[in-house]
Amino acid sequence: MSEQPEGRRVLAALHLLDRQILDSDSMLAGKVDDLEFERPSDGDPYVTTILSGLGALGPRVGGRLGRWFSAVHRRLHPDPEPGPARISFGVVKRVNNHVELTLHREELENTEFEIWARDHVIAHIPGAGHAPE
Amino acid sequence: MKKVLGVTLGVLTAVGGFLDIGDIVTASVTGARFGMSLAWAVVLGVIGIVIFAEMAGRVATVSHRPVFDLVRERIGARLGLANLLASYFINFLTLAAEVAGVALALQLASDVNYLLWVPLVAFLVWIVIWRVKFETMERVFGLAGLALVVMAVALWQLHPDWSSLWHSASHPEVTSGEGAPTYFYYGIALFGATLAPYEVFFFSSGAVEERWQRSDLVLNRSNVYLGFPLGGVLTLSLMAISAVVFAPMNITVEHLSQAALPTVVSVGKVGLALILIGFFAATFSAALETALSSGYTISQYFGWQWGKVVRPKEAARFHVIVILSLIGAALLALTAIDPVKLTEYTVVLAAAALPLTYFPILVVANDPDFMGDKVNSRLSNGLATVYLGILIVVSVATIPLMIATKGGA
Amino acid sequence: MTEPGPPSATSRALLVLVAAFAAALAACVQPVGPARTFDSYERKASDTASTALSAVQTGRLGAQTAKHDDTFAPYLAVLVSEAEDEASSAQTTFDSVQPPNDESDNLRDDLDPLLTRAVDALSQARIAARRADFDEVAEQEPKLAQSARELDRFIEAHR
Repeated sequence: MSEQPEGRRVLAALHLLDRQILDSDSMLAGKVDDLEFERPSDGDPYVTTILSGLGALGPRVGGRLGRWFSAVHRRLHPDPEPGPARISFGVVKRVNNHVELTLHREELENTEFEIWARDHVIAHIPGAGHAPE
Repeated sequence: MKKVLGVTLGVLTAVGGFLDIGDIVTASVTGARFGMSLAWAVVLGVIGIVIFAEMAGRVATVSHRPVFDLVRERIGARLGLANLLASYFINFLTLAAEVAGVALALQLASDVNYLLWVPLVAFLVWIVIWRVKFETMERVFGLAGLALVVMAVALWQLHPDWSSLWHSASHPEVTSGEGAPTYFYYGIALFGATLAPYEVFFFSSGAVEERWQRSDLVLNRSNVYLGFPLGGVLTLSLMAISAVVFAPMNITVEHLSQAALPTVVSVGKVGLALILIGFFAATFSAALETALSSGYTISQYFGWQWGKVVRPKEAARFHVIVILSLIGAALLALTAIDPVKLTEYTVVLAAAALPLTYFPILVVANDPDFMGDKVNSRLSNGLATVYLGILIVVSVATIPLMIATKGGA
Repeated sequence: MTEPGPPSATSRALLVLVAAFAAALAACVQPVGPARTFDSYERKASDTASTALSAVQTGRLGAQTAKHDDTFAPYLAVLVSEAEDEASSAQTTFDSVQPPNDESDNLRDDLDPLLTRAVDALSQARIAARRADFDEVAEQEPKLAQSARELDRFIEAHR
């Protein structure tokens, strides 16, 4: 799963951070809110994980608003002390204008808010299953 | 032939959909108070929105991403967040003003107090968003808004002194009895009403939802280059009839009922019916657009799935935001805050926040990574940069003028 | 890549914006202040007369459209009742201001009857409009015209 062999040298801040993530169906699946690197003793550091969602954005944005994001993330997540949602870089298919994944949205970790919103609000409203025709 | 029809329909929809409560209120108020001497502010606003809507549409067509989506990528998470908060706040105020505007239009037709209409209006707006196809929504309300052409007819029927109207418009000067700060304050209000930020969020998100391709760029351009200026003509017509009827009688406009009055005086019952339909269509479509924009801005910052094209279950957060925004806006309107005053303050604040919306558009439209060969030409860049300068000047001047004039008193 | 946020520049900028907006709003929402000199009282009187004039003229236009049966009753009712509210609240506000001296008392004695007549004429028009009695509304037109003339004279005299 190492990035080194086929990895591209990209300016992580410019070409990865804050980019839109698309899943395998080309549905919107959040943004690259933060990144995790690994620093081998030999060679250059490489990106191992994408962090996404409120849990990742909170610490990055900082201040009172950032703390609130993190609080909402903890609230909506089934685990009591969840870390930020992680997307292993191994499932990244391509990086151009967006980051395309090989996984489906549902299989990602950063969807707890969407699931909450869907199950607690939207699913109760008639017609939620149909797009306006 | 079909293409011509499509283009015509697009232009007509753009014209009918151009006005909203901000344009209606500011045009009437300034026409009565300053005659045509603030016409330049409308012209300046129309040029501005043409420049930026064309860019935003081009960005959406080429990159298949709406502008706000790209804001965070270009200016970073923290600045993007500040931008989002300011944009969302102003959008929210606009939504409340538009919802109140629809309720006022209904009051004018029924003599039932507008506050009683507010909850129904908020619900109707939501239902249309929930169930009606994007294109249908735009088309129906855009074309219904064409009823406002009656204002141009009203101007004609009044047989005004055209040369004096033209003179007042082309030789702007601070009206006697008014101070320069007040004059420019209202100029900013008109400018902000014409260049409303939500138009850009909606326009570019719509382009993505409707999956505009490069071949649609022609359509995009004709809508923008023809539709918006014609919409501006309607705004100026409203200003002119208010000037012609109200200024000599020392009437100042404080209520929406007065905004319709010159048309009634000039064209009678038919005029009244048409202008009420027009007011309703204009404010309702603007309410739809601002409600959707509340969802667009937040969803696009966080990267959430948004839009009416997907099933609501697949864009749950987007729809929750839209619903909460509508409820909040209705609650604000229900505080019985004066809707005309709310509208005036909102357009002024929108003017102050314009650089936030338009600077990222300029940046993105210039980026060859996104735009390929459709990147800004030197001419459009030059124009847009000049405009950005204007927007910054306006932005800096707004709050001091607001304080100095006590909110345009 | 994560720096724990300081009270970030963003938050500070937002705070400044909110403060500016609040200051602007505060400047706009002005409770009616007292008038301490004749000049400032005269100005208030003049402003009140202008507001009443605008309301009366609006009512007049409404009455004219009623005379030609060129309007719809619900619209006319809203138009006239809003004009009436405008004039009546202007009068109430003006009456609540303490006249600072005798000269001001005279001013008030001059203006009050004008305001009362204006509000009365508009009330009559409103009642008739609510009853969809266009003829009765049209009959208020001369009274409204008279009120307009009086108020205009007052404003001119105290320019």
